[in-house]
Amino acid sequence: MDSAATAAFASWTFDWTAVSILLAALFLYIRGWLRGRTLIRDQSDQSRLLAFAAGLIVIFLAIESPLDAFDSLFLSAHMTQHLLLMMLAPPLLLLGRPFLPLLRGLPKSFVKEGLGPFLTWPVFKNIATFLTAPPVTWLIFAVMTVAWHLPFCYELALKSSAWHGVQHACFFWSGILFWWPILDEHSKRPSWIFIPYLLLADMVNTGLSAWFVFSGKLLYPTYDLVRISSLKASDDQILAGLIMWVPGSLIYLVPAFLLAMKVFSGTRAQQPPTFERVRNRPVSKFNWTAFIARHRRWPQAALLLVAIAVMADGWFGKQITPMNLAGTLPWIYWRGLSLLALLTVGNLFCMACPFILVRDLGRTILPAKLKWPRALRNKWLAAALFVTYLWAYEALNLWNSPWLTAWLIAGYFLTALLIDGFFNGASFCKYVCPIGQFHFVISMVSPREIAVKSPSVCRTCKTFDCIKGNTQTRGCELDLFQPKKLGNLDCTFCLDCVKACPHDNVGLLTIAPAKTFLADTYRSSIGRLTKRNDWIAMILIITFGAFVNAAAMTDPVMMLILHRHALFTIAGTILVPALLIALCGLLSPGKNTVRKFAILLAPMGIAMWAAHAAYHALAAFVPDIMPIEILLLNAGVLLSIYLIWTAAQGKIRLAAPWATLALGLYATGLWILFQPMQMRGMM
Amino acid sequence: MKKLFLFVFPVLLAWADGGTVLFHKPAGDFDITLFSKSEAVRAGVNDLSVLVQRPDHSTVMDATVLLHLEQKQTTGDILRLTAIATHAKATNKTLYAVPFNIPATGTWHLEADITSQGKTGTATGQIDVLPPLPPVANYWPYVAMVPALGVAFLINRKLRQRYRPRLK
Repeated sequence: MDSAATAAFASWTFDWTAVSILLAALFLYIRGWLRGRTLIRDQSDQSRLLAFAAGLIVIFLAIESPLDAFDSLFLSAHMTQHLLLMMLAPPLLLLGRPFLPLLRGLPKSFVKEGLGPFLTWPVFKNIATFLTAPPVTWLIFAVMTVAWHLPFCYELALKSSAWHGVQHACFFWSGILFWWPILDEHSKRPSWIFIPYLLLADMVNTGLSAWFVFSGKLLYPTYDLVRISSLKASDDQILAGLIMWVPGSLIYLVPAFLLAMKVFSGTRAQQPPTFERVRNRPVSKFNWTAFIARHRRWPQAALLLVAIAVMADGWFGKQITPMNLAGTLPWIYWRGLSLLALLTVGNLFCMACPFILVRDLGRTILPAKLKWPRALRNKWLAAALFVTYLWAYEALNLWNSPWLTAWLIAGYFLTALLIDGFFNGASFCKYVCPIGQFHFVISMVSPREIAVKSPSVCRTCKTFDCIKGNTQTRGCELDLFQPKKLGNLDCTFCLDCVKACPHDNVGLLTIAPAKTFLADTYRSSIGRLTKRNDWIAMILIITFGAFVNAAAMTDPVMMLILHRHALFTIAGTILVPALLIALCGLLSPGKNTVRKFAILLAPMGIAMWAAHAAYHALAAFVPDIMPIEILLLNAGVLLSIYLIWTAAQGKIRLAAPWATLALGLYATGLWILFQPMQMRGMM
Repeated sequence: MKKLFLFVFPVLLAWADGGTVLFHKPAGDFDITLFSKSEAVRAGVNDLSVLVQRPDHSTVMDATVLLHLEQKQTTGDILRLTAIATHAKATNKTLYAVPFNIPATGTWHLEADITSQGKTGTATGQIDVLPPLPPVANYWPYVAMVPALGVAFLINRKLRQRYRPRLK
């Protein structure tokens, strides 16, 4: 094989968006398929899984293989791609009976509350019935096949990426519709009608193929612009016609033949599928949470070593930010990874926090008996430290100074050691650490929570080991009493409660993200969130701080603020938010609305932090990071508005000012993303 | 754009390198074709790719491809930019590609220098660089998801009210 051919076969696209969507579809299907198998096992379900996976692989080959790289140079490559998308992928996907597994793969509440009303909507049902009726599906398929091969339409698709996309969407979806009635297992239509259905479709296919082969003129002149091999454009067109004719026809004729065999052999309606009720399926008893609780010192030690390496490089290494661990790890990768962990699992960074080992060391060499001052048992100090951090980040160019970063980390270690060396409990984590507060707030949208498995077990408990501890292990140092704990606020995921509980009744449970925003009930060690001004201020500072932190690295804002960092930070995190919140409070009638609704803006701020971190962590690896950033902002604004709507119980006048503010933050976030940004700490 | 469709419709295709042909010219012992990935060249980063062929249409795979862009500034100075196009940066590995950051709009003089096995060739041409589209124009489909999902949510609420007994 010559070098050009080798290069051609190496021309895989690997577009991350397409691959992510295909993997997400496979993940959902397998998740739903596994859930279904725990109920009843259909004898044919493994073949369905294989068919669905094969369908996705065919799509992958069509859109990521060299076929894609050469579709604008060879009509035959483009035709093969169309064949895969229109005639092979759809039947394979449908043979996987994807509807139920995909629905089962989604969160139950989303299916019931979100999709349920649409799926049971008579209008939807009527449209679906109409669109899947064989005459309609056949007609749509035939029209799409013919129309898109007319020279005007095909040339349009070759010249415009948007129309190219529409063309392929039409091919794929008309393929799905075409094969739907044939493969519908609940269809009451006689099988024989699909024999003429397939044969007539093949006639259309044959006619088109013959046109390609015998027309004698070049149908799509674009393919004559560049000739990349000895194959002339006219010969390439004949080859494309033959591909469409022979393998294309087989895809219609083989099923038609099988159907004919079935009809003429007198086989009655399909045998009902055989099911086996699943009983006593072995359930894995391995307790991952307890395992992590026992071994969490290891990640803490690993992160401690990393922190030491970062400090050493910051002090003694080259002071070139992108080449120094203190310039890259804390400001680029740690932020991105900790946010990713928070949004997909929970507060894993606090669980593996390197300061904990130092704190514990402090307790062994220092008295650790004093009580944290009553006046400081709130979040005000941490909030002030967080604002100071935002200011220092810009004013002192922390991101660009490995030396200062190393001192900052060392200062953090020393503060943790001294505070927890002299004061009892986890005073540093609970009242001082601004990173911890940041993680607590972000973890309000985490999908996992340390919580009791069965409340009834706690009602019979007399020892309360989860908070008091026992001879084996300490209880919760942040004073969170598990039966009264709600959400992730103040929880460092230390898992002491998991280890301490003698009934194995505390675990890492899956929850609906952001659900606890709406629960204004008593929370252990916190009380009611709407009564805690310090917590509300902390949440708002983190929310608006996201925009301040991101805006400060854009060109227009940098030109605007110059060296007025303190004013910009205070205005952005305190003054402007206070004004906006007060205005919304005036516009939305009712008691306690400000405290209730202001915290619901947090998802918008969290999304901005995530988009910002994604930019720094991924821009070097992903060619176009903007879609990910916008999708994160979308998720944030939609979640905020959903929470506001739910909290307002559908009262538009109450919800409108807050929803408008959320949209305003969204627009601000988009504006920030669209500005030229400094590639801080990145090569 | 493709990514939007990938999201909305699970199947759509990537563009090959290539896309729009900017010019196709002989360059000494070679024929070269210059492609732009997008339909129009705009100020900012553009994916430019080059196909190098011999007169018999066989593809030259071992060439060194240098792209130069020149524009006369209002001050009278000449701004000259140079980039090396390589197979590594191309999706279609028979092409030589480079993401070229073009800083200004207007007409640019383009020169492609090809060297392979001791033979050299140069092709020149002009490209018109249009002003960049505002970012929203490139990413509007992603932004449009918010109002679209908002409308879907409102319909969902209406349906839940109307068919509540059935849902229970």
